[in-house]
Amino acid sequence: MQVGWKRHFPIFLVLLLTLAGCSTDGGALDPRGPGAAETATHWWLMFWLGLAVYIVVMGLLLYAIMRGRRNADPDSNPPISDRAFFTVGGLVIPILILALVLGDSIRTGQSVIEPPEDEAAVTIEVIGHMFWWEVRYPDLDVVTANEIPIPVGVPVELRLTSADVIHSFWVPELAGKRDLNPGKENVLWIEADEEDIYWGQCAEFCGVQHALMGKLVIAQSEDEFDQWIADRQEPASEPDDEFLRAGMDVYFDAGCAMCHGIDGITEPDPAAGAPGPDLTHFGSRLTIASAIEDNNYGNLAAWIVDPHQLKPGVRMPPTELDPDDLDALVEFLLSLE
Amino acid sequence: MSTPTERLTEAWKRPPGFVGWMSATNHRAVGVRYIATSLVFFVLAGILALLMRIQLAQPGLDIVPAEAFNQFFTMHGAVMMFLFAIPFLEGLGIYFVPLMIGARDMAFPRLNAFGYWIYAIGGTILFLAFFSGRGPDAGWFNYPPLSGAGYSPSATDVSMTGLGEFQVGRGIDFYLIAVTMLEVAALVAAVELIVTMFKFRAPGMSLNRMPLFCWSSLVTAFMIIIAMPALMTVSVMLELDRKFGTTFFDHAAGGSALLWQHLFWFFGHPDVYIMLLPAFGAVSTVIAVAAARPMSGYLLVAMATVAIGILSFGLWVHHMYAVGIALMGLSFFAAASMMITIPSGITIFAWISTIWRGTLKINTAFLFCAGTIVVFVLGGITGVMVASPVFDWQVHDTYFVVAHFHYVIIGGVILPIFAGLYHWLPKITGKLLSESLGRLCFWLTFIGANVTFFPMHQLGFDGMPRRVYTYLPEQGLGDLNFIATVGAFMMGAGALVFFVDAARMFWKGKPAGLDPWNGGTLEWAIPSPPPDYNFATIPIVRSRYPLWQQESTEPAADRVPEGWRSFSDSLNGERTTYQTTLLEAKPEGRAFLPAPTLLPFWMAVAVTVIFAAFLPLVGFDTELILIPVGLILLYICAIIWNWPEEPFARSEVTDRESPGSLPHITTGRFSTIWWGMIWLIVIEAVVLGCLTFAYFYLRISVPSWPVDDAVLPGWPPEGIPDPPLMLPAIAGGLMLLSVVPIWWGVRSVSQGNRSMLFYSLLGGIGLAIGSLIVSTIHYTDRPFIWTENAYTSIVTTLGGFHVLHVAALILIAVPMTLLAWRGYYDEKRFIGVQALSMYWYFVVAAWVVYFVTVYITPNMF
Repeated sequence: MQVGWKRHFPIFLVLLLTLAGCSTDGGALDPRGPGAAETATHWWLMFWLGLAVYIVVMGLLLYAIMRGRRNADPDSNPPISDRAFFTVGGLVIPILILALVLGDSIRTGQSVIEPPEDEAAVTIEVIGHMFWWEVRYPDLDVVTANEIPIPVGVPVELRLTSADVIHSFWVPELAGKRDLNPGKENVLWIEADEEDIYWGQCAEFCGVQHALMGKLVIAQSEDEFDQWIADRQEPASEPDDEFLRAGMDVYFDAGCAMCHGIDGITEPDPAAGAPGPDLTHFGSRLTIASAIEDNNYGNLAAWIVDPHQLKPGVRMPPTELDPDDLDALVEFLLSLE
Repeated sequence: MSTPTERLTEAWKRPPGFVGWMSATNHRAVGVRYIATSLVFFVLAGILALLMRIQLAQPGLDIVPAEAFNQFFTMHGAVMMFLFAIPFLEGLGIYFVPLMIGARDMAFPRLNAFGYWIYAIGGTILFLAFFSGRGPDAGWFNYPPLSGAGYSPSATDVSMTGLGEFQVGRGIDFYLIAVTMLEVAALVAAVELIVTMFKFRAPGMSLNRMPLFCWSSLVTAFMIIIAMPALMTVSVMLELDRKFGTTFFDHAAGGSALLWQHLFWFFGHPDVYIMLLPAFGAVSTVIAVAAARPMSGYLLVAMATVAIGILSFGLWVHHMYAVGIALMGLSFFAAASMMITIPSGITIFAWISTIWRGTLKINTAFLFCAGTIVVFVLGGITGVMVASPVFDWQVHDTYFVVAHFHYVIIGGVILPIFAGLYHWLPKITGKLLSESLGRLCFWLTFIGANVTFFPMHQLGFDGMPRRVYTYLPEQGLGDLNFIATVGAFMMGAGALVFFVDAARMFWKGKPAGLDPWNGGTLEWAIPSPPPDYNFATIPIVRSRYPLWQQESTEPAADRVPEGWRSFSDSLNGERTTYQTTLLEAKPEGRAFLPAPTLLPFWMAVAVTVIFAAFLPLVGFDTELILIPVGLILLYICAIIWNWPEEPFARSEVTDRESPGSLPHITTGRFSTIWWGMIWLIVIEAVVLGCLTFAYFYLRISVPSWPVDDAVLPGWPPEGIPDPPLMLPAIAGGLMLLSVVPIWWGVRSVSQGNRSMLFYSLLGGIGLAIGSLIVSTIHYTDRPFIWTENAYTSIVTTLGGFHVLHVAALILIAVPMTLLAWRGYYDEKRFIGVQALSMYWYFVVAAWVVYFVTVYITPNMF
């Protein structure tokens, strides 16, 4: 429980009771990767220094008010001469503290951004869209969206760009954030210490649905990851089942295929900058709507009929479908494993 | 013969009726209007904040829909900053700086009124847009490409975008135009404050005796002059992108979205200190009064204020740590950001020292000052933290930053503003606020602020980004958000108590008398509210706190030259005040100030008409007609404004001077107009600097190899030849040559040769017209149009900047030539042409910069 206590420490100072019942997992002070861990260490240094400074200044203020109220003489002798007070308190001590903070900041910063000595195990391109994440594994020929599987314990290189406006990639438990700029590539290294699913969301205001532009980083063992890649490299094939085939027809007739590609079914292979997420292995995804809801029959059907119910302002239009067509379409999509 | 007081009352009285009210130019009338209007906007922005807190109180609420929420947070930030904090503090300065320095009015009373009208109209436009559902929704920082025409189309062409029912981004034009108008108002007030403090200080008030509130207003005004033109420039560039299709911020055509961020934050960071410094000045004033002793470390605090002003221009990149700039560069800005805490800390220690040395009497105003220290220091400490790039990568754009800057702004701006209101409102209204309601207001605000914003630090760590209209239950953010909402309503209650108290004050407040607090500065030497002429006799100042440290501020009869008094009495019904030297405030003359007039209002209307051309109102072509209409209106107003009063025979100047009195300063480096011109030129120079920066920034960020079909490599891009030298050189040469007749004309008139001035002006105008014709030939001859790519956009805009200035010179010079022909200017009265000449030299110097940038550098490297 030590970790939880430390993470909540600042808040305990003031709101001890209120927070007694509050326990959230994750966050920047619960680091699960080296980048976030070093940053958290840097924070705790700054926190203790800042707390000390704050207590001293508040003590001085309290003392000054108590003393000032007792003074009868409007120009009483001060406890310390102004010259000494301003020089030591206003100049020497702050410079020492700031030098320490700045030094630690630069050291930590360099260590966090320094690329690992080994070749990158995996390079992933993340392309921001309003309001979802296109995810590409260029060396492995895999395209997916919103869920980013990575091998655990290995540094992963993220190449970040945007197809439209500025977004920002942030998974607080793994590393600090970096912007996705149109026309300019940024590089961010992340690494996860443990197998887990890490939540992150867009951190640069990008329009009406900025709030629900979520993503998941899924850290798996290297074997699982390799298996996942191998599965994803397989293109989809047209279903044999009559019902699913009907669903595929709906997929084309209702206009889904205009924005969403399925490798092996739509031609050509969706290029970078496709308007909507690639659906090749959609059925195996955990979530829909950029990691906002579980991927299941009910959620998906509701999403297809009117995405703006859940996320007003997304680019995907509502689709009017017969119940049978909708049923077939959803089953077809979920079958794409 | 009436008494001096009666004559003063007569000379300074405000005209009656509604039209009279509209035409008031008195600094206290304008100051009160700024303060009252800004408080209205404060209430509106506060209500928006409460609505947002309701929406965020629990996860997944649907009380404020997403589109509305995005408008709310954009408006909340923009209104609090541009419509409340800065105008309030400038209004406070406009009201109190002349009182503190012993002047009867400000240097340019009509300009002052003009600034207010522009501010009021700009703010109204923004709120009209908002209430009609077209508020801006891309954040107050308004980053392109989101705020560009592609993702935030104007309503007039929304049908073409296919976005359907979700029409977002329709308010961006309103935002850019309103903000530009507010900047104009802020700049006007800044020039006003600087020149007033430079030239109108009471005799004996050398700069090192000026009250600290004036010092901070002075530094703030300088910062406004350097910072605000950057936002104006970049707003106009974005509006050109949106309205005319230039490509400054469109990377697909060689532009750069980061260019916006650099120029925006070059303004945006100093802007924080533009709000903080005058508020600090108010705290320094109130603490000294509460402790009944002069501020400790006066000079150190004044110098710290200057240092903060300078340093604040070196840290804008700390808003951009996450955009992907090399860590080495970031470290420089991190160091600068941390350095600025040192002068801030010294100011706080000076407050503490003043308290512990003084005889403290705790009243409401002091409570707010103590609250300032408690809240602001915490915001300062988290400020050092977010100045660390690596830490900022985690908390940037999260609620940690929301917590940080609300601590800074509530501690450094809002609580000081309340302190100032409780301290100074009795002077403005003549009635006292209630101490008990004041204390209730303080505790509600103070506790509410901490309950609202302290939990937000933790929310940031827990992964809550800024500017989200909702969050998921699974994120576990609900409890802390609920606490924050409760706190927000406590703050709202605190503000409500203040307004109840203010209403009660008008109804049954006790009379304040001259000085309810035993203040030390000059505003407490005169009645509350002060008479329209402020000071019947301009005081003589020999110390920093004249009311504490001097037996009398009355000029002793035997030590005052005869003329000093005669003019104080407004013998001919004129409005006058002392003009003194810049550093030591030795009397050097008397300034005659203009009478109330409706002109500032009409001038503001004319400017509004021009700006309205950029608003999506009726249709693109129709709207553009407003530009010439507004310009003509503006030109007519400007001519009436500057036309000398009839009769303008030469004898008029000398008539006003009785023997032995101080001269009426009309000309030369001592005049207020000379100083006003200097600051106008500085503002323009910053605009030119920003455009030149944009040119080189775009140039270095353009790829040197083909990226795709749209972006052509090289500078100028492939297919566009290097700029020709011949025609621009001729056009510029003519401008260079025109300096000679202008210089000669001013020199001649200063020596009494009036006819030579007329011919010189004619010559200058002729050469300028010649230059304009050659420029036009060159521009129409170009093998490109300005919307092709970033190169053509910036080159054309720089050219347009130059051409507009040459045209302005000609337009200004024509009526002056007419006056010169009528023989108006003489050796005692030629500040008009002198000001024109200064502007002329600037335009020519700007041409040199433009020519070297656009025509020489591409040919060189």
